[in-house]
Amino acid sequence: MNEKQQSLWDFMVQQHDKLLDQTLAHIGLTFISLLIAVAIGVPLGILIAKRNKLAGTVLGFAGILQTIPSIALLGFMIPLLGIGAKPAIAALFLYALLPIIRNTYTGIIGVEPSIREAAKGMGMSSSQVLFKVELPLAMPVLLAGIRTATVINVGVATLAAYIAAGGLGEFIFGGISLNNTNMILAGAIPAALLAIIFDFLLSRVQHLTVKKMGVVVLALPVLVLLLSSFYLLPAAYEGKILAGFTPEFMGRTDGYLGLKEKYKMRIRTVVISDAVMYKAAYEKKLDVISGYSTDGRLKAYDLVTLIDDKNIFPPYYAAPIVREEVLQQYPELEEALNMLSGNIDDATMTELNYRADYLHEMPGKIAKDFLIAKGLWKEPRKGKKGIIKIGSKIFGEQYILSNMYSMLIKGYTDLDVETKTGLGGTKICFDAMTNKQIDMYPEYTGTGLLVILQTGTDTVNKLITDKNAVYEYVKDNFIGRYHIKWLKPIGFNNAYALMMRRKQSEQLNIKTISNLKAYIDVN
Amino acid sequence: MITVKGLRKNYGSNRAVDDISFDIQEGEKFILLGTSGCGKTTTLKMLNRLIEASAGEIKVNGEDIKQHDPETLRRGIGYILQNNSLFPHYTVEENIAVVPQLLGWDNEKIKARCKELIQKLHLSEEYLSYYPAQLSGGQQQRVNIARALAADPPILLMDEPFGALDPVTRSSIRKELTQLDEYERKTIVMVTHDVDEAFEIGDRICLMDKGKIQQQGRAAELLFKPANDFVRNFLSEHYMQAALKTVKIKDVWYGFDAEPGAVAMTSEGSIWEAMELMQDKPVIYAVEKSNGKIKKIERNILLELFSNYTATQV
Ligand SMILES: Nc1ncnc2c1ncn2[C@@H]1O[C@H](COP(=O)(O)OP(=O)(O)OP(=O)(O)O)[C@@H](O)[C@H]1O
Ligand SMILES: [Mg+2]
Repeated sequence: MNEKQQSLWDFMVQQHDKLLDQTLAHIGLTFISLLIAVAIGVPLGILIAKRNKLAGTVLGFAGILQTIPSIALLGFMIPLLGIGAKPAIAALFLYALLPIIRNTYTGIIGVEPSIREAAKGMGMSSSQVLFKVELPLAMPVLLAGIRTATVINVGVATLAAYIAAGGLGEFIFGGISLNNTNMILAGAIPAALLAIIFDFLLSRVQHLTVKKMGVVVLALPVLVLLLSSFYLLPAAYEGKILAGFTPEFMGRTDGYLGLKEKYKMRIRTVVISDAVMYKAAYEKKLDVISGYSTDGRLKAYDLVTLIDDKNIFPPYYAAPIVREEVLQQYPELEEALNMLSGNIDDATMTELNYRADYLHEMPGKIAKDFLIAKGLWKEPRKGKKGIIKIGSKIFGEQYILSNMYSMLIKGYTDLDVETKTGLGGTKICFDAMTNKQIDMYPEYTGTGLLVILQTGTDTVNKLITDKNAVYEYVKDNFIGRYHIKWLKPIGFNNAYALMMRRKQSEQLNIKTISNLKAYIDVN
Repeated sequence: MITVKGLRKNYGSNRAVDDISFDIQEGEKFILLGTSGCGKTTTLKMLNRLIEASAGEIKVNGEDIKQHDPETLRRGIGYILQNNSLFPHYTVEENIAVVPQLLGWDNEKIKARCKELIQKLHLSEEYLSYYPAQLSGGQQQRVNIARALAADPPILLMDEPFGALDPVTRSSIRKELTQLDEYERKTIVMVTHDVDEAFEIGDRICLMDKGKIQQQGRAAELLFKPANDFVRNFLSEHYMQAALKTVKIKDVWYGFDAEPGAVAMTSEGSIWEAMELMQDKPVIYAVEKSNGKIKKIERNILLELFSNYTATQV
């Protein structure tokens, strides 16, 4: 434990520049959006308190906005506002809106009618009634709304890292993808602290007497404005080419770090989720992205991969990995799972992924069509001999593969299958496996080598150009360390790759990563 | 001072106030009395335009109240609600200062006025810095009165000002109000459904039912010459008490013998008052203010004169 804390601290010290940037960006994102939400939500709340007929519509609409999953809301923003700060702020603003409108409304509606009447009866004008009586009396409720909105925003702002808007999500999601606990904590702990601190401070304000509150409430916008200004938009980098990399790619030696080290590439980057990256490239919001070579969207968005002429991306051959214990219990499993081996090459996988990611066909249907075409499909035997729990990470290819394995197991053995799909990134999937929550899932040799085994640089450099050597290495080490067996590779290589729009790559004559580097250095 | 003509208020098809008219003189205490829902509050609020009349005319000092904007009108009329109408986020002082502040008085004057009023209403000065929540219901209502009186408006509108208080507090605050030196000058319109209160305070009483005036006039007129069965029935339960409060010693002055003695009351006082004073002694002495004549009042004679008087009135 002590050792772990030590190394978390080390990590934070080592990465303090980034940590500070991310924290400030996080605070900035939270408060800019909060400021806009207050500026719009409070008047709107007042309006609907005065025109009760509108209340249902406005609150209902804001309520619906709030039920949209945050990541989806961020996704919707991309076509409208592109990537970066703008869509993130817009999404956060929409989230903060409901609690602020609702609490302003409730606060004002809650003012005793006799008090409002007394105010009017004394001869106050309607704006005097609002500012001298209604708003001060509604203030504790209103502040509670702002407090809720702030806490929501601190949380949701972590997702801003998915659309290149920065914030502590960069560490959190990078850490999850990289199986790096320190990195996760370096993002999660400050995010949690921010939520706790802001919540506490606002709760103090909320419990002040109305009079003192007046002073604070006046000071608050100034403070919020100040905090908002922490969000300095990414400083002006030089260069025309903008790259969007996933948090995972940013932190990997066979990713951005490798690009910097081996290619000496100095490229303008933003961090972005792979869910929106391809589209952003297609829409010319980004020029270079870090994709996977079998991704269906490559085909959908007419992107090309750049040749990795200095071999920084290790091979990522996919193969099912299974707990040894399970294989010993059900030896017939291995044969069924190996039936896929040699049947799917890069082009085939890209095609299947294209159907899933772009044509939005169901993974189950794609899997079945494919097995039928290959003559591998068999009616399920409905066996009850045991249950195999199949996991998958949260993207289309994994869904398709886990569906195929499920069908093969049901068709060729007397075993039943339970699928646990969508287990986030590598870390979540692999942890589920070591905790025996799942029995198998499709993994990639490169991920096994670098992310799970955390193999040292020297060994990696020796192995990296030889796909078979990598496979043998992970196979041996997984059995030894985790009692997990790598079965036969399926055949395709879903390696990391840099991608560009086909048109741009032809125009600029960039075919390899070295070409890209040369172009960036000149421009 | 206040003239109301053909006043109406319709809520949909419900005629909350249905064609009422009255005239209130300067300094008069005018009571709107009636059963719940008969339109008292609606009538009162039309006087300061918290409710806009559907039809009819209201004049204050000969001017139609619609000639000015409602805020100006209201700043010149004191308004006291039942309870719970102090501003909870203001101190007592700030509550009292509301109207003077709206009228733009300077701070020194406002401070002085607050002190003066708090004393008049028998609260100690330290209460000025208290918040309403720190006061009892009776104290709150005193502050409420002080707030309405702050800018010394010639007219006071009161909607069941003592309704939420217990009987003892109610009558003591009522006394304090009537003993204020500015009380005499004020033109007061008060809503109540408490007959005793109406008879104690009211110079004239306007008894309403279903949005219409059933009878308006001096207390004795309502009591001894009821216009219809509604008026008779409405007052019957309180007849005795109301009559004792309505008939004054001077009304039966002729029946007592002149005799010097220690004066306990004036002939302006009611028989009720005399009876209260005679609880522990059989005889008291009263003085006729205009000429200083003192007469001896005995209980049995008093009661006989009273019953003769009421008999002649009906
Ligand atoms: N805002 C309103 N909308 C519709 N009807 C109303 C409204 N205000 C009052 N009324 C109706 O007008 C009538 C008179 O109401 P008002 O408040 O004047 O009665 P009140 O004599 O003051 O009764 P109470 O002694 O119970 O206070 C009632 O029938 C009431 O239901
Ligand atoms: Mg009423």
